[in-house]
Amino acid sequence: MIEVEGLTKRFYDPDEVVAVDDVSFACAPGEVFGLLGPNGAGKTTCLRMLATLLAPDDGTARLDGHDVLEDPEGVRRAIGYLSSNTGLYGRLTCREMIHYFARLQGVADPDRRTAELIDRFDLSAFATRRCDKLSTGNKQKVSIARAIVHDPPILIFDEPTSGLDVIVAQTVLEFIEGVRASGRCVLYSTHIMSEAERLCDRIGILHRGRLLAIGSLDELREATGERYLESIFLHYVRQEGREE
Amino acid sequence: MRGDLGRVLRGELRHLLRDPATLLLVFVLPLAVLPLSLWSFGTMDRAQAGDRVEEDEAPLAVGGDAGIGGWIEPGDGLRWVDGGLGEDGDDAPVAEVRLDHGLRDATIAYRSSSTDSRNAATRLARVVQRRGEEEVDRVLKRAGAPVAAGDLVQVEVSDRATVRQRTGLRLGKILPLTLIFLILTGALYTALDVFTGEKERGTLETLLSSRVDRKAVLLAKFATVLLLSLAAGAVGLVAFGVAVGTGVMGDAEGQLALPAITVAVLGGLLLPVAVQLSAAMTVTAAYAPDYKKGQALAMPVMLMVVAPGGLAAMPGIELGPLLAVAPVAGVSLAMRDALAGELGWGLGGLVTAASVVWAVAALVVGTRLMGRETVLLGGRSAAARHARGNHVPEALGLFGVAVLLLWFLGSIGQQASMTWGMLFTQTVLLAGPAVVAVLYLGLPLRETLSLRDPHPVDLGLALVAGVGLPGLGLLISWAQEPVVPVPEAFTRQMSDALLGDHSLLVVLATFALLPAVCEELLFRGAIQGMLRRTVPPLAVCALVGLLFGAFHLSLSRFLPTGILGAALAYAALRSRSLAVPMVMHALNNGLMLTAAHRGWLAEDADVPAIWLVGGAALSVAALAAMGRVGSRTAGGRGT
Repeated sequence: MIEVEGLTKRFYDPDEVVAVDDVSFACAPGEVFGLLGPNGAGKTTCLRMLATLLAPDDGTARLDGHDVLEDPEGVRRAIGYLSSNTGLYGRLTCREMIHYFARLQGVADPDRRTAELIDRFDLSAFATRRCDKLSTGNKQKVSIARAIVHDPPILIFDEPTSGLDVIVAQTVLEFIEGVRASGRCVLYSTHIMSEAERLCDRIGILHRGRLLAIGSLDELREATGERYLESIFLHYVRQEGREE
Repeated sequence: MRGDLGRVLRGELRHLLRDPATLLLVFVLPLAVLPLSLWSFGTMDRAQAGDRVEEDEAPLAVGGDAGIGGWIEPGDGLRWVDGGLGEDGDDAPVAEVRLDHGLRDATIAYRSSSTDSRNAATRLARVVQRRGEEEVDRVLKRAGAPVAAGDLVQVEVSDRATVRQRTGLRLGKILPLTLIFLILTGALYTALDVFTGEKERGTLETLLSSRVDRKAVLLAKFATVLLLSLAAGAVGLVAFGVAVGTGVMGDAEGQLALPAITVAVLGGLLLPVAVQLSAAMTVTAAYAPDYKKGQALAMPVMLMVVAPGGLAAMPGIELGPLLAVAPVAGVSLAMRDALAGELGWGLGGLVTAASVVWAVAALVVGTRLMGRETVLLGGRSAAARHARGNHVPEALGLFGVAVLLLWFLGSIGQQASMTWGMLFTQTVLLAGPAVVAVLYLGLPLRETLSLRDPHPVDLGLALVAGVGLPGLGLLISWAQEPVVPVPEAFTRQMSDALLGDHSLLVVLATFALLPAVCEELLFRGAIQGMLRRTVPPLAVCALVGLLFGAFHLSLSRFLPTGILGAALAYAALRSRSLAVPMVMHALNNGLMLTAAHRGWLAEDADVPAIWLVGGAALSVAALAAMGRVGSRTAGGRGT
């Protein structure tokens, strides 16, 4: 459902920085693929390319059969994208925000779908409250509702629990587990090891723009001889340092 | 795409119209600004027309030589008091009249800084004139002449303009600029909110991750800016109608009765001006990575937009085919003419069509900018741009700041004292910012400003080119005369202001030498130094010429000064030394001033065409030869 081949992105700030360097992976329906890496590893840039917000300098990617360069609209139709950079319209109410994106995404019955999502995320008490007056947790719930309003087969979540308290983070994680059960493909980036261990069927370790390893937690354990994901991550980072 | 556009537009409008600042700028500000402008304009108008005596007006106190008081009649609006100008007290004269040799040599003294004093002087002059005619009548009668003074020469000046035309013309000086200001304010705020504001709040990324096409997003945002800026203009126009209807202008003939067609034309002209300004602000906001930089970028853009809007208030500027297609200026002049009832369908249509072309061009640029991801998602790094040698925004920003300083501070200084004001303008407002900008950006001062010793050959060529440049300038002025004539009043004012009562030496030092150093430091030094790192050489010359022409804030001087600027830029580029354009600039200004001082450029003076053509040819030939020897050997010795 997601096929990424040799994806590369360079920035100039002021010298050339390769933010994503020849990254390749795939993600199947019903799978949660985790991109694990510290801040600045290139996770957000990689996901922005998959969401067609950035164009890759090299390589390509296909999501639900749509190429990111040739059919960006088809890609965006197939994905629900949520990142720490996707904000809410503060002066719209919770209901208006979801309804607005339901209409933008071409949902057949936006009223019904909005009501459904408000009910699903337990937002009824805040439905008429402006988004900028909502708590951080409820804002994130509205953001998730916005991202899935058109019921996409692929979800791209970039550090969705960032800045959330434990209880709200738990709700988000439970939601993603539910999504996987429904057969959707989830691409999930995080720097929190425990989240990756709990959620991800397979993990890609990203460091300085390069994908150092891919595999299930068991496969990575076996390959490194380490038990915990944190140790596995450090193992690959140190190995890369030695090779350089 | 149309459905997406409508959906995004509705969403943007719903979000924006819940912002109190938007409501204030779009709906409240226009309600207050136009009536206030009209009231102050009416007050100024009445003050200027002070020689008319109103029935309920208290007579103004005047004094002077004894005996003159008896000449004053009840309807003159004057009363005689003892004493003269300069005395203190509530009842002191505000103007005085002295007769040194009878009526042959009457002197009226007043203070131009006081409205009452100015009005009293005008009325006194009328009284003295009347008395003079009476004296002549007596002399003629004594001599037995069968005629009176009034029978010899009688001139009747008859103004056939209707009240509507006269008032419309006066309103036309203020209404277009005020409406442009209101529309611009609305466009600027909304554009910054829907582009840069959304980048900062993250909603732009949210919107662009939906399936909606980017072009639809851009057009919807542009439509949002357009609708709200148009609303600001429309509210302003309604407020104008109410203010005029209730007599805020309020002088004797100021009660406007504008026909419905004029109001409709004014309303119709709001659309093209709103389209142009919205497009300009949309592109500015789309380019800016964040709110702070958006505001900084908007300042010079606003200035460049408002300046042509002010053409309607300038004397002698008429709407023709050339000005009709000029952005903003065309609409501004069309509004003025519509108010006076003199706008034809042809020029009106041309103005509207040109506005659409300008807006489409701006939107094409905007669409391309929207495609640039660094612009789209923010985080565009000035450091990265600088590392590639690109200082174009800074160069344009420096120009904007210089024009702003010239406009607001320089003009005030020059009004107070032309010589000292010029010294202040050139050194503090032009050369100062140029050097500060280069140092602030960390650019090498000598290299950027081309502070090198010129090659002797280039210096010689600069002397030749400089001598010929006035010919080139006059030739261009002559060629453009049928399309963009130099207003006579403007020439006279400029001549009086520049030459005044000063000696030629002072005039040359102030208006030739000083600009040659300071304006060269700014234009061919700092601005050109920033541009030439990434902009192709000929494009640098064209752009510097364009900016130099615009800098002179005069339509009739735009082309001559623009071409002069481009020639100086070319000389600087070829010789790699700022001294070369400085010499050319000094010679050009010096020769023009000397010619004006000697009366060689007077209207009736006949300058042989061969001189102009010969001068122009000399300049072009010297410029073409420039740098062929110098560029290879002019080294790094700093001046």
